[in-house]
Amino acid sequence: MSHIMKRILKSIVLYASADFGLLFKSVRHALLVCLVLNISLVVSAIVSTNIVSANESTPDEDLKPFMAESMTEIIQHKDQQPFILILWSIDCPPCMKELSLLQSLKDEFTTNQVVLVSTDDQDSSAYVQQILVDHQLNEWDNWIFADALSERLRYIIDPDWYGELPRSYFYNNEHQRNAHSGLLNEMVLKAWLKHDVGS
Amino acid sequence: MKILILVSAALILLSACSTSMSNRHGGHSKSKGSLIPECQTPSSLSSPHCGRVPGLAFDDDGLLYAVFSQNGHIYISTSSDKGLSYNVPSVVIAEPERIYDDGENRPKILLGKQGEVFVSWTHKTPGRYSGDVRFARSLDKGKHFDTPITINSDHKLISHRFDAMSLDQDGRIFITWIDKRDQQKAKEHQQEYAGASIYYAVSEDQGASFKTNYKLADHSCECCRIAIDSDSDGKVVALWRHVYPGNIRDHAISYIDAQGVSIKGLPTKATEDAWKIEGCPHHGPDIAIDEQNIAHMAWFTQGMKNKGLMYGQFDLQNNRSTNVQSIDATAGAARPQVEVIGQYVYLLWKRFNGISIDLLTRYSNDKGKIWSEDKIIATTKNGSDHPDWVRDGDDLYASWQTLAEGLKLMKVTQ
Repeated sequence: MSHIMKRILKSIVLYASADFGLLFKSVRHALLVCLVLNISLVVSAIVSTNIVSANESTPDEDLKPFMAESMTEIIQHKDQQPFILILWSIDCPPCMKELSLLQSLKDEFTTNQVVLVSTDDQDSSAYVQQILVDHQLNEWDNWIFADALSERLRYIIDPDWYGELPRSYFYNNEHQRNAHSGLLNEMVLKAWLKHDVGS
Repeated sequence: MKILILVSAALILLSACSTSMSNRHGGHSKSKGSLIPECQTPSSLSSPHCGRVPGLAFDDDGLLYAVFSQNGHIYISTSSDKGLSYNVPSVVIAEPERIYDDGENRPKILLGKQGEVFVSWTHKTPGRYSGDVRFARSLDKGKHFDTPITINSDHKLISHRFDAMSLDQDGRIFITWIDKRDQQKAKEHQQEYAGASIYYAVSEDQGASFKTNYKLADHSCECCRIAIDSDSDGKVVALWRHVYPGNIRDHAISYIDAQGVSIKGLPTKATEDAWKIEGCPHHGPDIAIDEQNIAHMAWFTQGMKNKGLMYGQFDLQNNRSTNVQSIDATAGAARPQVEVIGQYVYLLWKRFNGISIDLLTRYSNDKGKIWSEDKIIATTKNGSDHPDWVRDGDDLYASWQTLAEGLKLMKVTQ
C-alpha cells in the first residue's frame, strides 16, 4: 500500500511544483486537485484502517490508546478466552512490583492472556513504554488511558472501582470477572494459570 | 497560488480527518493539557487558567495569590477581584526545572504577616519517583524571589516528594514530605521496609535557611499527599496515610515539634478504617483544626469498616477520634476537602456522574453534627484538577481548575 501512497504524494508534489499561476486559469486543474486529494484521502483511509485493524487484532509493541470503546473491543477480541486485565501506573510503586512479578512469570503466560492498561495520560507514553521495555513486557497487549477525563474510563471499566492501583480483573471464559485491588501474589497468578491452562 | 490551494485543501482534509477521529473518540482531550483557546499556542502567556495545579491563598487585605506550574516554571500571579481576573504573572524560579504537577503534587503557597510569600514544590530528579523538595521565598509580596533552595539535605537521587507547608505560632516555617532514604538504606542491607518515611525541616529565619532534616515517622504510604495545619496555639499538626502492620493503610496524626522529635513505635491512629492493601490509593487526606483543637478530617478509604469518602474529627487534647461519618460512598466520588470557620464546617469534593464531573459542597453549622443537603456548584465534561478550599478571612471559596473552563473561584459563604 505504501508505494501507492508514495505515487500519490509524488503527483501532489509534482503538481504543486508547477507554475502555480496557471492553477486558477483552469477549472479543470482545480477539479484535478480535488480528485488527487480525494484519492489520497481514500487511500490513506484504507491504509489507516488496515493499521488500526492490525493493532486491534494482534498485540504488538505499541501502546494502544485506551478509549471509551476499548473495553468492549478487548473483550470481543478475547473470544471467550480467559484473561487478566491489569491496571497500573508509573506513579504507583506497588505496580512496579507487580510488573516485576509478571516479568518473572512471563514465560508461563502467553502474550494474549494478560491485558495491561496504564492509567497514565498519553503525555507519559514514552515513560510508560520504557517501563514496559525494562520489564520485558512490551510485547504483551499494552494500552494507555487516552481521555483527559480518566474518571470516564474508570467508570466504563468498572463503576465500582475507586481508582486504587494496581487493580486486576480475572475474566473466565464466559467473561464473568473477579476484581482485586492491590499487588497480586505469585500463588494467585500461578493458580489462575493452572486453572486457565487446564480448562 | 496552486501551492496555497493545495496546502489549504490538505489542511482542510487533515482537519476533517482529525475532527472525525476526535468525534470517534467522543471529542475528548487525551492529555492533561488545557482546552481553553487562549492556552493552545506554545507561546501562550502563563496564566492560572493555562498552567497546571494552581495553589491559592488570600492575604489579610483580600488579595488572591496563585502559584502554578507551566513549561517547567513556577509562576505567581495575583488577583484583586477574587479570581475574576489575574495580573501578569512573574516567575518564582528563574531557571526552569522538571516539576511534579499531578494533583497530589502541586506547588504550595504560604503567606507571612509581613508580605512574605513562601512557595514549595517537588522537583523531578533523574530516576523513578525521584524528587527533591524545593523552596523559594519572597519578602516583597511576590515581586522578587530568592534563589530556590533544596530542603532535603541528603541530596540522593531518591524520592523526596509530596511536600506540605505550614507556619507555627512563632512564624517558623514547617515543611514535611514523604522521604525514601530509610527505605533505600533498608534495601541496601537487603531488608524489608514497609512504605516510606515522613521527614520535615523547620526555618526560623523567614525561610532564609532550613535546619536539619528530622524524621517524624517511619512507614508512611508512598504516594498520598500529607495534610498539614496548625492548631489554635499555632502548633503544627500533620495527618498522613500510614502503613500500619499488616499493610493497613489507615491515617496517622501527630504534632510536629520544632526541635525534631521522632515518633517511637506506632503513630496515633486518626482513622480506623481497616483498609488492607499493598497498593497505591494516590489519594491523601485533608485537615482543618478548629479553635477547640478538634481536627476536622476528610479522607478516602476502602477499608473493612468504612468505604468511600469519609469525614471525622480527632480531638487533639484527648487523642481520640469521634463523629466519623460517610460523605459519599459512590465510586466516582473523590478528593474531599474540609474547612472550618467558627461553628461552620464545610466539605468539598468531586464526583463523576457517568457523563461529567460535578463539584459538590455540604456544610454544617454545628461543627459537623447535622449537615446540609449536598449542592452541586460546578460541572465539567473534561479533565479537572483536585478542588480546594481557599479562605479569605471569614469568606470561603471553592477553587477548581478544569481543562475546559480554567480556574474558577466560587464563594460558598453568604
